[in-house]
Amino acid sequence: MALASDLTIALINGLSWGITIALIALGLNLIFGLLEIVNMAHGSLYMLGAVTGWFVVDATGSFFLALLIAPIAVAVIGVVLERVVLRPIEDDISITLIATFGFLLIFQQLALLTFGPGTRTIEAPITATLQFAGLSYSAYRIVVAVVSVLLIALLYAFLFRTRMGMWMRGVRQDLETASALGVPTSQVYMLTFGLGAAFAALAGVLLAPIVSVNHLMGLDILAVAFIVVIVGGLGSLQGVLVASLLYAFLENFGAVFIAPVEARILTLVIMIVFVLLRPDGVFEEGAI
Amino acid sequence: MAPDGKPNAKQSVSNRSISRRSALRGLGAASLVGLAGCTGGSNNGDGGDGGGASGPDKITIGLQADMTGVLASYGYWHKRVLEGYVEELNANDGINGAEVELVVEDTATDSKQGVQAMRKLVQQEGADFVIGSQSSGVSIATNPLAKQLKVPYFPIGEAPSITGADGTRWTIRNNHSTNHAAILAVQYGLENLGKNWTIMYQDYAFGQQYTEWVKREVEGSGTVLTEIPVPVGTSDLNSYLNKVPDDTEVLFNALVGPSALNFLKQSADLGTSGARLGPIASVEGVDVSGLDAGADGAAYVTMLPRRLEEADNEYNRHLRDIARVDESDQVLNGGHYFVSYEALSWIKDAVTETGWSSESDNQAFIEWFETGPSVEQSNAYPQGKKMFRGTDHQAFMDMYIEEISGGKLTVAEHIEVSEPTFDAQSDLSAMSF
Repeated sequence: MALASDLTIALINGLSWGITIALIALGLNLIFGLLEIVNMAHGSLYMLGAVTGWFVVDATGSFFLALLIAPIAVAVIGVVLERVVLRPIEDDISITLIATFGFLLIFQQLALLTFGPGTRTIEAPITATLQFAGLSYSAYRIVVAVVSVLLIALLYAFLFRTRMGMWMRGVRQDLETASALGVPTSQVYMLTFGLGAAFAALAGVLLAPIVSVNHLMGLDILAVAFIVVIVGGLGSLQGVLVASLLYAFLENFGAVFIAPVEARILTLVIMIVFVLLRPDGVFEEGAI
Repeated sequence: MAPDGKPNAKQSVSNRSISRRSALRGLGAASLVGLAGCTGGSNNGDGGDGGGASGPDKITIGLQADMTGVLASYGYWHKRVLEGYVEELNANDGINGAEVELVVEDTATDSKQGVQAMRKLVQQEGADFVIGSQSSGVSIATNPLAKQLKVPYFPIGEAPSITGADGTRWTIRNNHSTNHAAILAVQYGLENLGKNWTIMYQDYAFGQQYTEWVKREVEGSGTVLTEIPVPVGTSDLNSYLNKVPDDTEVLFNALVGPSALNFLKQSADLGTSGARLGPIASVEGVDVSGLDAGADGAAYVTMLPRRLEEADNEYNRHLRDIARVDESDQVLNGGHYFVSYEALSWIKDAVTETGWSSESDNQAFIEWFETGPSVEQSNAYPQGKKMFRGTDHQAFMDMYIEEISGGKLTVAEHIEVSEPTFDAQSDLSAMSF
């Protein structure tokens, strides 16, 4: 394949994959930004979204119903997790780290018991392949990228254009003052966790036709999500978006010139250098 | 059952020794009944006669199962088929009148936990024979322990070294070796698909071993254009698929689980060059029914077709009944699940042929395999005829090439195997017990 074709595919793939990674990582960073909980179970919530989506599609044949039901179901799980398990221990970051890791394993085993050990696929609602300049690319991937952009835009609108969004930002900036001014911090915490879980589940359903469904799929994506959250800046949503694109572009463009495995190593090295140079994230001013 | 030779009774007696396991059991028994100095282990500690004229009351089969972790789908089917087989055996007088008990421990598809599982099976649950893990890493890590515990071990891992450099006298593999599958897949590919090969593989032992053997076999008759390693856990394969040269005629892929399914979908989306060929392990436990036409033509080398229609005979139907295939909602690991079943058949035959009655007969049990027994297709060996090579305790069997067509795996070719496909990598039969 000619260099121009390789670069074109790398560009499209980097863009679509980067935005999709951002969708997953945003939920993770939202939870950290507000609650300061490093949610190790986030990968499992993504997996639960895909698994729930598979069950819904299997039962109803409707992908769009899966897009609706899975995020709601996983958001409820997230809310219960926050209220029942994390709320009593949220002041101790190391205990929440262990607790959420425990739930990562619990959710994984629950999926193994219900969904089973195999790998299954959800048929994409759009199966067309785009043909241009002698290249082929999945139309569904482009659609996923566009939907991800819309979802991210909606999240920003929610945070900056709604009262609850303002409360969330207020609680993040100064918990005591927000509480003194009557912000219902308990509900804000609960909603934040639920929202983060819903985003992970949405990503799970959207990506299921691309990456397939398996009870272990959350582990693979968790590492990537953490990398972009750390590079983007803990709590910074804009930073996560930039870091996700940076990660995907580096990996895809690097793979044009060197072996893909070497490109991944190079990507991680550059990410480490980035963290050393900008330890507070892409946008140093920080959160949300 | 028609073994080619007879066990060496003389050696089985002369080599009789007190194993660590016997000693532990003896110690346990002594503490229970107050008999000091009891050194002869009884079979399972529950009524066996320790090698007397009558057989044991019970034979305990250990299954070192990958119930969780990346190979969980294998563990699910190996356990399921063995539970059914043990039930059937016990309904028909067990093995030579001895009740058969199955004990199962999870490896979590992890070498360290797999070794712990082996210890527990033997030392706590009294397994007389152990059918091993599907994971090569677990199998290799367990081989020396089986020797230390002096328990016949039937690993299901497929790495060549399991019955080669990493094998011991206690290792008996009735599963195929990676090189057997690779050699036959290359033979099929060169004859039917083309001479220019690209290899895309999961970058760990499984993929590396296939790459090594495929390269070795292609050289001389064809060309390997490039090799593309894919790290474990990679979801997006597009950048890897872009590295496939345009003049690729055969795209050999040794990927596992989700990566294999993603490979099928993403290679179709990108219009990647080359006919796709690989080991069935790539799509074991993977539902291919939801794949669109882009997956059609992808071929896999396997031991037994996944669907009954592709090898419909009374033996295969019996096997599926035993495993209750139709009652499960899980994707059948059709190319592998019979291996643990047949391992138990081999154990049953070896026990019968050698008159095995306790662990003191274990050496004779192993020496029986060194005589190179062979079997014909039957209810006990539903996959088909097969033979053991005594030198490296390695079995050989026919293979199939299956192709995806319309969301189903269908047989493209049945490859008959009448002799070993590769030379023994080690002489296990010359090793000490």
